[in-house]
Amino acid sequence: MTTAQLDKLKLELRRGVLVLAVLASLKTPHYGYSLRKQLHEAGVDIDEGTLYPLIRRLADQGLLDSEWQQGEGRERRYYHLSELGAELLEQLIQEWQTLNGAVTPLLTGNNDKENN
Amino acid sequence: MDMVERYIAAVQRELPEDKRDDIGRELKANILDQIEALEAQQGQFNDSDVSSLLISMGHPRDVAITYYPPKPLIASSLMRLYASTLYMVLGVLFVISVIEVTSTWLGGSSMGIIRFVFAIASDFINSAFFAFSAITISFAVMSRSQTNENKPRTCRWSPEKLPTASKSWQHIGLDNIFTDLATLLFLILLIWYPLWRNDSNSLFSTEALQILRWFTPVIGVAVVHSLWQLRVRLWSASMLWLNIGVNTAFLVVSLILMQTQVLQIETLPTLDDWGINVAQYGINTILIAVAVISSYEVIRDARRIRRL
Repeated sequence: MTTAQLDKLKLELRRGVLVLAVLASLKTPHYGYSLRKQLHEAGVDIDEGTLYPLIRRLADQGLLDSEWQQGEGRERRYYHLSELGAELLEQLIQEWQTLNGAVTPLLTGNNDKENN
Repeated sequence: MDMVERYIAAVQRELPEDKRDDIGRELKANILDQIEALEAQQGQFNDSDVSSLLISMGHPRDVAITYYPPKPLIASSLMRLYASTLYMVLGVLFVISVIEVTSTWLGGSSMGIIRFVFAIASDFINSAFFAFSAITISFAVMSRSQTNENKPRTCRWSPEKLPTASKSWQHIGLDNIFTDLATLLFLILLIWYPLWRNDSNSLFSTEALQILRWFTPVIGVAVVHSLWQLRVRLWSASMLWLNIGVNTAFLVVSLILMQTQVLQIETLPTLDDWGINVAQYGINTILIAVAVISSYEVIRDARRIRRL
């Protein structure tokens, strides 16, 4: 498998998970850079070219609310989970846990076979 | 800072008017946050560092695309319908071009085979250009007006009524159907042209014309069969039997025509003896080709029926 193929598959794998991570992080308000920093500290690396447009898209879909606030001499746009976003996040978390529960034994099974 | 402003302006130029201010404002806040964080890490931050940061963010056009991805001209949900419509309309236009140019040719226009082919191509390209533009614009408008709630509905269907198609050869290609239709309509035109243009003579000898006129109902059946194929797009046993019948008739007629003088020499005054011989030889070659192709299709379809 080429690096390009691997990158493409990783991107596909990460796409949905990143939405989940962003929604979960925005239970508390964040502006773009502070959100990126929080995700990075949590071990989720995401470049600004992906994150900032993603936040805007989620806001356009009504999952996030936003407001401009002045701070440290300049303005920043703070995002936080909307009511609709909070409802959807609960359902997504359940879906994630179900998927995780189903996929993990499959992956572990493969690992066991490889080890044997 | 001037460099950041210019970068933001360059991104904004790539965005629709109503999005420029909002995205530009947010982009500026994000860039300043990054500069601030890098300043905190490195101590000093000069123009060269700003330049490196902006380069790492990407070309303004690419950044604009990530913020506001361009919508495709034709929505992906309409793409198959768009391709099928184009294919069918262009196929019909090709058939019409063949008929029109053949009419002109038989009407006494002095054109050689190369000019004849070029005339068909030119006529087809003219009409195809208009059709392509009209269809594309229509589908682009449909794509724009299409919302998630307003997705195109497919015809009513049920799994029970879907035809059995276990073999890949059962699927009939649109190109095959339109090629057949164009050939058949061309043949009908050649045979019956003198009837509605009293001033022109037929290319065929009286004997050959008599045979071909008796053969016309078979060509009519083949045309109807091709139109039916357009609807079902799948070979069934009954359609294969019909195809065997039509091809057998073509085989028999081509063998009979090989025994006769097909061309009427008087209608070829511009040709010398050598030219007439070439024309006769050409007609015989075409008849042999028709016989071979018809035989092949009869054998092929008989084998397919056994495999169904």
